[in-house]
Amino acid sequence: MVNNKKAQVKVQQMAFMIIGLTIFFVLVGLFILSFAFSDLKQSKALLDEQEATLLVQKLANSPEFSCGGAFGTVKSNCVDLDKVWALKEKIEDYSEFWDINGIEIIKIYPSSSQECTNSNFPDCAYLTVLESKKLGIDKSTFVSLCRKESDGRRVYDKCEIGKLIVRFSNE
Amino acid sequence: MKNKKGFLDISFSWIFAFLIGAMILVGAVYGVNKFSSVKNTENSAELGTALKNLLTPLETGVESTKSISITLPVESRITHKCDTFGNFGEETFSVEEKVKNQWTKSGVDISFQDKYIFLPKTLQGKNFNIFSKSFDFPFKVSNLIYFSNSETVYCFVGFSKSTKTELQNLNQPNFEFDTCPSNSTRVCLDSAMNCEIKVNTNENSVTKNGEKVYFEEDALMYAAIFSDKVTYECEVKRLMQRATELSEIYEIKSLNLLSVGCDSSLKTELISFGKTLSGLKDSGDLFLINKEAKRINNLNFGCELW
Repeated sequence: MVNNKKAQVKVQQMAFMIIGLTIFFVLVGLFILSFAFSDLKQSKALLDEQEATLLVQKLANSPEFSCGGAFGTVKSNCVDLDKVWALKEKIEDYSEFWDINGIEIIKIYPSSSQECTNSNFPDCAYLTVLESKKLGIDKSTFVSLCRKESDGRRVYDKCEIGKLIVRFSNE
Repeated sequence: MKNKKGFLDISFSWIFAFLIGAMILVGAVYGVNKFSSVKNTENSAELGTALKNLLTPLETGVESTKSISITLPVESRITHKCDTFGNFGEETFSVEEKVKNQWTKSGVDISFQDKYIFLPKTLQGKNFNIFSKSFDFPFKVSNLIYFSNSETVYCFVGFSKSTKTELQNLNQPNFEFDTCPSNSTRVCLDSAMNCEIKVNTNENSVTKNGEKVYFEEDALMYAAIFSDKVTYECEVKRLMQRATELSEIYEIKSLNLLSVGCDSSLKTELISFGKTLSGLKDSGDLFLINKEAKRINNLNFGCELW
């Protein structure tokens, strides 16, 4: 009977020891895992940031936005506002094309707060090309906003300074 | 009786310790395996995004051609899939890495709707040479991106001076001209020579591995040279899908410009061009579409739309 009890205590001791050892190993494992993946979030954020910056540049020079040869020679970072206004009508087709949340164009000068609509275009301050449905981070680039304008006698090219803002999801 | 007891003299505590020890060991082995597979997936996903970021600058700017070389950390296999569904179609890349002589499938695919990449269905290597060229049809549709393995030497025979200069200016170390090394892939222009890739300028076709595809413009000729038939035909369809969307944008633009007294008189032409573009069945139709594209381009003067 005494022997039996002694054995039971020994088994109990060992069980506690093993449980303790398991918990120790699990904790060590968790520590290693958290250390190994700590840079994962950081590198994802860095790559996303890089991607966003590149994408704004790309968008400004993409065939849907760029001036091309419509305003003389081909220029970099030149947005054809007449083309973008036409693109706004077809934006549903492009909703997933660039993998972005929203696109906005702001006229820097002359400053105003009017959003572009059918009734006031092009005498307006900002144009929402693709409406942002989710919150996210913004990236922007300065661009020339060019369009065809008329003074009643002749048609001429008018370019103003603006900003192309692209919104990305940060999920 | 005593002997029997000695033979089986393993106390319960030992059996218990063995069992729990085995469980800990199995758990540890499983954990390490899982961890290494997660780490591989992480590496592949990181590589995929980095690759995506490397390709983006090839599409920007006003230059007609651009080139880069990339070196991947380990021997990799790029598998490419092209689809034409929706408004623009899609292409999907998956990158496998060779780890301990085994290809590790990450399961992380990268998809693009806005890129047009020409490469063989599967491309394997560590160093890749990439270049891009603008594709105008007649307005700019996109920059086409061409991939080649740096170990595969392409030898261009009989090409015009302008094409040779354009390719030489790319500074791609795996491009040779006219004098071909023995192990190179010969790309011959209008030649009866025994070449791996034959370009025929009479019918604007490229024959590779016994399969023929048709092209218009140099950008598509390079596309046919550097990709397989299935990829080429699919990407050409995707390009025409984008051109259709762009022709509709230009059509709306031409209509809007009437209000400022700018009559480009291209509206009806663009409607019919859009229909022709969307009706493309295969690269054999490119000849007729290009004829119409050239005609429309000649009408784009005065109040230029593109």
